[in-house]
Amino acid sequence: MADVDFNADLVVMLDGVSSYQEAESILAKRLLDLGYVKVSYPQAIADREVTYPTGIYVEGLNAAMPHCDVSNVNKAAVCVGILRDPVDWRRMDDPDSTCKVSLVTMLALKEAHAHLDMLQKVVSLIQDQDLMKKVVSADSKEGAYELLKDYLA
Amino acid sequence: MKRILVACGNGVATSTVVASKIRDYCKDKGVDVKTEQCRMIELHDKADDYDLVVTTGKFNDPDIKTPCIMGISLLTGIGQDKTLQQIVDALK
Repeated sequence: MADVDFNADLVVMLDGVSSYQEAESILAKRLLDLGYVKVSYPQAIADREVTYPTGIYVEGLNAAMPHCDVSNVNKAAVCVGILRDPVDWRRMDDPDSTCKVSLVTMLALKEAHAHLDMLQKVVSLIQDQDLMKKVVSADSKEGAYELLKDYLA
Repeated sequence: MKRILVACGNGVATSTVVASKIRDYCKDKGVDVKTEQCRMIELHDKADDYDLVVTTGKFNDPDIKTPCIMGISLLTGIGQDKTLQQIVDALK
């Protein structure tokens, strides 16, 4: 996944977070602080979530995949947030419903219709409930990163 | 050749994965397809130029005559084969 960055600084334990807005805000700020995205990114993420929510209900440990227009991004990266206490997230396939989300993969995409390799890996991760369970129950962000690095890095 | 328009919120991420899965499946089944991607908001103007529309988000537009299939299963994996078969059937 050479074209999309993923490293230990891009794993965030979202302990004590009680809303999807808060989760998104923390992850977007991390991407901003690390220079991956422009100052417009956090608001673009928030706006996008209202119009087209990104919660993905997989009948288990659910995920969300917030992302926004490529114009808000400097360098492609994926930032993973772990919610040991899941929060309600509006569903992509049914915005009137919510699901409890445990893992957030916030995407900073530099090119439209690209990054297929990384996107497929993220989708495979969401579908791999055994791995999701291990990641969500990791006792530290380092532990979570160790589980995810072979997968996403 | 059949043309499929794949739409998601931004037209940049989930539609990329879904379009790829559709192309791979159709290739296996010997169905000649071309996929293009757009934002869901663009469907109203674009959809009628295609044989099929697949979306990852909830979509309902009574003005559109082109058949629309919900493709969320290609992200969740749940019922994925059924949806892919539905897509191939809709192109016949």
